[in-house]
Amino acid sequence: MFLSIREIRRSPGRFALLTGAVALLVVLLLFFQAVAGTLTLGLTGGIENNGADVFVYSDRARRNPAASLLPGATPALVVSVDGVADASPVGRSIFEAGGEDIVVIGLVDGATTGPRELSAGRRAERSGEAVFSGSSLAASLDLGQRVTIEGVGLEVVGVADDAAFEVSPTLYVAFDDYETAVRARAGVPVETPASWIAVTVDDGADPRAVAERISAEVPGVEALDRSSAAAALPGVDQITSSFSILYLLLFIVVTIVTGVFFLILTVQKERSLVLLHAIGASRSDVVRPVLLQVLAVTGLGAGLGVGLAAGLLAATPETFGSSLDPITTILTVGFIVVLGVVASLGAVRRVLSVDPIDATTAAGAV
Amino acid sequence: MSIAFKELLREPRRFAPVGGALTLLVVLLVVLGGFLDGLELSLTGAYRAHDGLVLVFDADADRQLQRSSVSDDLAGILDGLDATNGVGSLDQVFTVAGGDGRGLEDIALYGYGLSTAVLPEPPPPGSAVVDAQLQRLTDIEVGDSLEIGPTAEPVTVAAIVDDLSQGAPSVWLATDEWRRVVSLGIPPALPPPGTQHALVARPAAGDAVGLAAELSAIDGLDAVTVDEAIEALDVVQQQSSTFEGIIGVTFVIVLLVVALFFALLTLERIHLYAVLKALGARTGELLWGVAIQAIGVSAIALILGCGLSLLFVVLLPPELPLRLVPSRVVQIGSGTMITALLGSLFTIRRLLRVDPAEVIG
Repeated sequence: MFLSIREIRRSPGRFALLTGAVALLVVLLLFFQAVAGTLTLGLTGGIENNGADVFVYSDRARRNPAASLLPGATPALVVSVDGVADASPVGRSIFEAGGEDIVVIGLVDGATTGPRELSAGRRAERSGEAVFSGSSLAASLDLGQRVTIEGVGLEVVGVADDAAFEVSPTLYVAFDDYETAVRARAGVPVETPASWIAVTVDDGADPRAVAERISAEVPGVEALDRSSAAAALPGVDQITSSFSILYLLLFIVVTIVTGVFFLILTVQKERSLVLLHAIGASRSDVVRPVLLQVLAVTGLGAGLGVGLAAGLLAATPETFGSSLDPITTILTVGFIVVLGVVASLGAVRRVLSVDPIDATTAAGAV
Repeated sequence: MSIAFKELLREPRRFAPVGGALTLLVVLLVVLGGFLDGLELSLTGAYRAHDGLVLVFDADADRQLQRSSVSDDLAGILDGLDATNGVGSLDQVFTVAGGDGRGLEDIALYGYGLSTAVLPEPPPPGSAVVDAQLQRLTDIEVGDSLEIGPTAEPVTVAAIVDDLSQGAPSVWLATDEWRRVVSLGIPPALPPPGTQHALVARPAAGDAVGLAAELSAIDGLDAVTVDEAIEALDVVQQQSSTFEGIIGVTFVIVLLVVALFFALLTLERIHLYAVLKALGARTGELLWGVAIQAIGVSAIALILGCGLSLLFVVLLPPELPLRLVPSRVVQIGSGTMITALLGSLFTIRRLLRVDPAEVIG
């Protein structure tokens, strides 16, 4: 303890440089995790936090709600499947309002096919009312705010957290309002088929089994339970894979940089270690300071990194739209410290291989 | 040959640790750059297909294709101008395509009316132009049948062009055919009769910037070059600024790692430097030696890092938006060399304090 702290005090520059490097690597890691988390939730929130148990798409939609359109007769066919308590059509389209792209979800039954829970206000009960959900990466609407979509006036009467689609501001409205807006944009009375069917299953029924039955029994559809539907959304896989690659590279860099630093440091003080051994210091006496320094540098670096990342994300919510998830942060810091210790094994091995007899030779003599 | 360079050659193991760390940092930088370019290219292909031309949006559309609606009347007016040498419509919708034994893929379906350097003349009804990305995903060839949209409208592939992905691989139909397919399969996405999402105008004098300025003066229109249209894509700008910030932080890490290593190395050789100073070497010469070693190590790390990155990228699944663009690799290479050079200069304070008298002290 004494030796390790004294050494850090005597050479603050080199330990500060390594701590800085570890801190910046932790900033990058946490930043990636925060952005990936926000992007994924912005993509999947509308499904993950939906009241429906099963989502029924066109079998030509590749499990993509934005590409799915279903004939009007589908809900009646779906509701006849064993285990289905209710099947309700849902429309989805993107409109422009106030210079923003807004995803509009048209619901026949807003209580069971919209967001599972609201954080403020109430559910839309009639035409002209809407429930808003936003992603932190997009603009927000407040309770009571009015929006006009293709001439359809809407008032935000409820707000749901993390129930957005396509990382965009999302309005849940009555299906009639959705239909009116679609037709107003088209300029002609076009057909407005459902994008998907939201299914509530019977009490005790397994949503996955019901989804399989619907896919098998209703022609031209593919049904998925909630978690499968969220995981299948376009972009989710890409985000997960892309960021995983970056995490992997960053963890490797942290390990290599920490390992290299402590190995060089050990080589440089090899003569002193020989002397310590020669005057009776035990193995643990010489290994402990190395491990303490590793813990101090990686721990402090990780702590600084957490502070920097939290500050950066708090200062730029409109750019990065994220905050740190406590559990992910703790796990990351823990992993960095463990990797630091693992990386220092090379240095520890070197310390243990020091032979006190070298103190009596020309090269080792002090 | 300088002492510094000779040391690099004679004692490569001494520099291996920092070389290894730098190699990994180069891999990280190249992969980050690959994601930056991959994401940007995969979101802007349809616009880039109109390079040298002018894109004309509705003035209220914030230069966003799907928000824009331009009337046929305006198209006629633009076509009649001396400054234009052809005007065509441009419409977009996202849907799926596949069939004929192939899996379905998400696509961006475009209707167009003007050929470009990349796009051939609009194909006849029942035919489509597809891009190389869709070909990669589905193995489709010229003459094959492709089913588009929820109603599986069949078209025959007339030509395959470069990757023009814009959020998804692209399929291109003549404007009237696009309206027919969309009205059958995705009626809510159809622009009102007599309108299209945007127009594309070819400048008569080859001056896209001048034509864009001239057309923007027409009430209700916002005409821009392709680069300006790309700049207006929020998602592209957000991704670019995020990844550029991350790459910047990674360069700072490179700086710290190089500074740290050479600080330790200088400390180790402090007596040697004192001897050299006693023999008449100046601080500048010692610093130059450290700088040469930093550049040498980073050059080797660059070569190894680029090689490893290539291997790494080849092993990744093709659907990941990662593309290595030579200009980006050159940018990262020069950035790494400059950063390593700067990092090595952190030793200047210690080199200045080396006292030749220590040799005899």
